[in-house]
Amino acid sequence: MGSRVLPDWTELTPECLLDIFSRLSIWQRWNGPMLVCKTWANICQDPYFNTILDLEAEFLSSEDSNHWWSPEFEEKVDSTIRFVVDQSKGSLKEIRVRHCTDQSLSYVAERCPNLEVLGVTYSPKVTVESMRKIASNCTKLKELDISCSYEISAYCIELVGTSCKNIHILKRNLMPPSEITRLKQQCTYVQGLSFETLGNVDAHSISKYMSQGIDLAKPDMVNKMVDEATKKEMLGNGPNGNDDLHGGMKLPICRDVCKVSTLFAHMGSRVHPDWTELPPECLLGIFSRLSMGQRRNGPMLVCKTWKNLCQDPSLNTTLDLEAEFLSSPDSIYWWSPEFEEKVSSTIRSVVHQSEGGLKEIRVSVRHCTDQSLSYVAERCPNLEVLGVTYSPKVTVDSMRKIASNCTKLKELDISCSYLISGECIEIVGTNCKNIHTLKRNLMQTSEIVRYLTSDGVTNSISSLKNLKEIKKPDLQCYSNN
Amino acid sequence: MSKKMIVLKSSEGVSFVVEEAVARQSKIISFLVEEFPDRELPLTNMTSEILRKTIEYCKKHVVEDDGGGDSSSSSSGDLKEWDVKFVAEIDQPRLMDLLMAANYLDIPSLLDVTCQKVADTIAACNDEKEIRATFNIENDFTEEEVEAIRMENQYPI
Repeated sequence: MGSRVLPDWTELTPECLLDIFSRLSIWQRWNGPMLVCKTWANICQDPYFNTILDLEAEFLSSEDSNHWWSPEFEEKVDSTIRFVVDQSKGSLKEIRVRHCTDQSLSYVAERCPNLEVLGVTYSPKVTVESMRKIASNCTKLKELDISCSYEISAYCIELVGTSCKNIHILKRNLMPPSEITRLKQQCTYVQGLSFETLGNVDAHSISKYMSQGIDLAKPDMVNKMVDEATKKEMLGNGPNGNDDLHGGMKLPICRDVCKVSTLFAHMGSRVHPDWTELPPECLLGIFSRLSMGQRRNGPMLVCKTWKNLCQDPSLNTTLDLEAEFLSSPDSIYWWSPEFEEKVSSTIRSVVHQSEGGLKEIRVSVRHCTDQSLSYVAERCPNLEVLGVTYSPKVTVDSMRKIASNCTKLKELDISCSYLISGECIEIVGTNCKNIHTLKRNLMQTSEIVRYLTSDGVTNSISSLKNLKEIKKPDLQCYSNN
Repeated sequence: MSKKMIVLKSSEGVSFVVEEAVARQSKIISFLVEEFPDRELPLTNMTSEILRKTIEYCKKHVVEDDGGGDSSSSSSGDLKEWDVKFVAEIDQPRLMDLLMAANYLDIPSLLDVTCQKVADTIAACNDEKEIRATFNIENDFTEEEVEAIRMENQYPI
């Protein structure tokens, strides 16, 4: 190596450049080396850099925290996330961000199956919607930090806990004291508010305050809500309320603290409580006690919050119209094409909202059609129970699709759907190994005996060996007039 | 032999002395009792009224597992009846507070009866307007939106 006056930095080996660039923050890389030359730009785009997106350092060093709570800033964070996710081509393993939204988190969920660490803090707009996607797609998750993301409910944690078996750290707290100090120093326009007493208020409340600006002069209420001293006492020596899910024992504390803030809006006596502010898991509990028809004709039309909850996939795992049919006196009308259309559209909307989670369909609907059944077959791979009764228009066409797509089927009821032939049963029997109940009337006893005992009756029967019962329901008059 | 008592303190600072077995029906309190024994537990977000109601419920539902108590636990049929009466007597604003309390304190059976009561109330309404009126919910849909949802989610019967 001769001595050079001006060394050519682009000639550094890629390994060295990688090492150097890795010491820079993502912003520094993007605002510097990335724009320098093609070689550097290429190296900056090395997937290695894109295994981690950690904005925490930037947040901690930034002076300007006021505007973080604005939608514009969220948009910025979101676009950063999207960019890095795109760059990483699915290799992202660690994400630590603040102030992001459901959109970007869903984007992450769909594209980063290898994610191991996720920190979504101070993100009051993140809800169960995106967290569900994270839970189902990012099953390698080991660490989750949702501190100060108030809308992420206990239900979300449950979802994550259920699908991500490797998770071993869960952090969920409210503001750490350092952050409060910072906020206190920087928030010039919220002077009326003492942040000490706000110590345990979460991001949601803070953002509320931030946006309300001047109308803050209600520290009394805040004081009443959280007595900081007792809170500290209760938290004991817990590390800033950061709790380890390990053993599950610490969880109640953070839950406890979070609930305090959830209850924030409900302080004091109220004449008219705001029912929309019930935590989503409570509302889901309430709605799950209503039938689907009741939900659709009631809560779903009440307000946006309720409507969204009614469309939660967890409420849409079962479509059972049987009770409604049995209680309705108006049966002649059922045999009309208009009614068929109605039933079809109900099936489609439920299938759609279940996001593939539908497990049970009992559309003993007079006249469910091939179209809607094909729709079911294409979108409900988890279907376990299917009742298509009194549906004379259903044929082998859609049943074949059901047989090939819904292989988890355990129970099939095709009573009074007379175009569903023996051939259909054979196809279902061959594909759905778990099927154990088959209901079909209009079937002769001899036929049943044949199915159950004979070993000469084709392969379909051997594949139907799990079949425990073939029921022959009473043949109600096929009142076809 | 005296039973172990614990002290719960409401948002107004009123103290309630409760048998530990009664309070332990709340998973949160159960946890706190273990973590901070012999200490008053401040429930800063519950009014005395709601706390009293909650304790009333827990007292009724406590399972006498030491066998020594003469207050034998009620049969499940009686208990159900009692539950029905219990929630029937609660007016609507308090119902929500109680539901929140059950959720917050993690008392599954109380959460169950309160949720059921709300569900029944909703089911008893004739249309969405009545539900809005009952629960004092602001309609944030336009007419067209309601119609669109109705069309999208129509139910055959």
